[in-house]
Amino acid sequence: MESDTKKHRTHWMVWVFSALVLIPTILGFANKFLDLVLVVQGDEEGAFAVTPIVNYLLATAGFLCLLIWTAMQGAFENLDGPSQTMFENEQRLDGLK
Amino acid sequence: MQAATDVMTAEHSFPRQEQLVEERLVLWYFVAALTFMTVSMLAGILMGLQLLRHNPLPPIEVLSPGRWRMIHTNAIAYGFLANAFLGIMHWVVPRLTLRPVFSRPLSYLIFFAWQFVVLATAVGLMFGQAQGLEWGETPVWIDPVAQLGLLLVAINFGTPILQTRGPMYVTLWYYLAALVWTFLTYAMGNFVPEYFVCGSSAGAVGGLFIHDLVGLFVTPLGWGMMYYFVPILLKRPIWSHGLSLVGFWGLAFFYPLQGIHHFLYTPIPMFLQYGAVLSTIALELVVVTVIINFIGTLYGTGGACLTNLPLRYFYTGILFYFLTCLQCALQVTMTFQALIHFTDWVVGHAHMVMFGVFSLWQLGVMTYLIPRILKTEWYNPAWCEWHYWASAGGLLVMAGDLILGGLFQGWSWAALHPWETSIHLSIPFWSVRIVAGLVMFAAQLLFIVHFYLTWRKSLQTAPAVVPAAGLATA
Repeated sequence: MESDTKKHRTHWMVWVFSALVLIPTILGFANKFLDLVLVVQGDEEGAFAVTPIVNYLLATAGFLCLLIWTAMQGAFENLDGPSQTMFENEQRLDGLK
Repeated sequence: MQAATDVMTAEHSFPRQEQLVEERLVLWYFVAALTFMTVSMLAGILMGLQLLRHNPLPPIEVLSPGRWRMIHTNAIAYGFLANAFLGIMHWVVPRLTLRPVFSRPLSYLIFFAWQFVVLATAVGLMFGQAQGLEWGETPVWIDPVAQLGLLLVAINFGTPILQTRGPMYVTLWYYLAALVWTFLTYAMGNFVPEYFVCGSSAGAVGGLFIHDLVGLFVTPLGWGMMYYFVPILLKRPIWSHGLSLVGFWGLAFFYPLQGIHHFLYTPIPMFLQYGAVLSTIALELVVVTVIINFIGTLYGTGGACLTNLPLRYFYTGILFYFLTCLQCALQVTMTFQALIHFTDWVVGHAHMVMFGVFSLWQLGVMTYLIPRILKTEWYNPAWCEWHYWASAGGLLVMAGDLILGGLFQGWSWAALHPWETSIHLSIPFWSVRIVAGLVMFAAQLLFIVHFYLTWRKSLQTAPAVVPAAGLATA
């Protein structure tokens, strides 16, 4: 019963913080993209700002691909499984000495 | 009977430590790291004395303070932090993936190549071959070698990580990302401003590089390390693996945008500057997820982080990490930045990050791993306590002193006092800084001597089983 409560609490925290992190990220990303379009379209003097934005877009695109690939690999299906496995493996490694 | 046979077969096929970890190489990396840390701190002390007008070196070009300062920063980043991280990864990655690194001979080649890169950088800097970008001063002829070295590092550690089947533990996520990010960040900072862009654009790329070096090289390796060692020492899994993944992906999406907050009030367009400010403040939320996770893991362990010395290092670093990020969220606002820009506040902040967080974590890992690898207890455990208190205490005094001094400098400039006034008011702060620096330096020398004596002891005594729980001082 106690472990069920703890599991529920952990899940709740994950969703809240996911929302807190993802919403500003999406808004920030959209804002940057709009700025990029405006700079490229009209402001020649500000065109040099394209370099850092393209850097960021490339990096973010890479992370997005990685995130999609990760989700397709099933990494988010059992969120706490890897930490349990890691912990058990460590104990086995030390126990074999 | 069959079940018992299956268990025995499983135990037989389970890899052993000696099959996975090249322990000798871990120690070599620690020796290299501590050597470069000594050089770096010595250079820092010389720079501190220069500010107090007591530079002991002869006034010749090769030994000029500006060059020593670059050796101070480069030796700590590429000599101490990188070497220690590489050594720790040689322990962590094989144990987490249950696979050895791609190639042990390659590991040794990387070790010697990396020492060459760091030494050549130091020599190049002393002879005036620095590039004009902070943290990216590495002479141009070394850059391709370093870039190749980073590629080999990525191959050597990336192979076992990518061979892992099923969902990965968060440490491996951080490590995998760090291998890619470090390669790309180094290329961005050392090649793009040098050969492809100039002026404000180069400044913007330089800003990204400076901060990405901290956030995409040091930070993922540091947090990856913590997510591995803290649960092991506390003998319990991390409080929420899901929350740790939120932290990881938050870092991935927010961090690359931050660098331009180093160049507020410059000709870089304001929308880029505001973007950096907002992403920095937003990253504070990500940091909170990480801190909550580690507090949750610690909760209910009965003050283990007070009695277990490596854990105490880790949680001290976590505390400093929270403080630096909080400080960061404040100092990137335009109002606050106007006060502290170019002052010693920034220097205090940088020391709190590099020494108070990452160096303390690495020293904690060394305190834990060295006796395990040498299979003997520390020569004198009380010296480990001295090392901790002098390192953490010295850093607290140094960072607090510089941060406070920075405020006074900023107020002096804001009041339009003559420049000399800010110099005069800084002298007491710089004096306290040099004392704190000497205490920290003495602590590291004690640790090096202690390491040597423990190694000597390990040669003279039969191997002992050192508890995996670390050095408890209760």
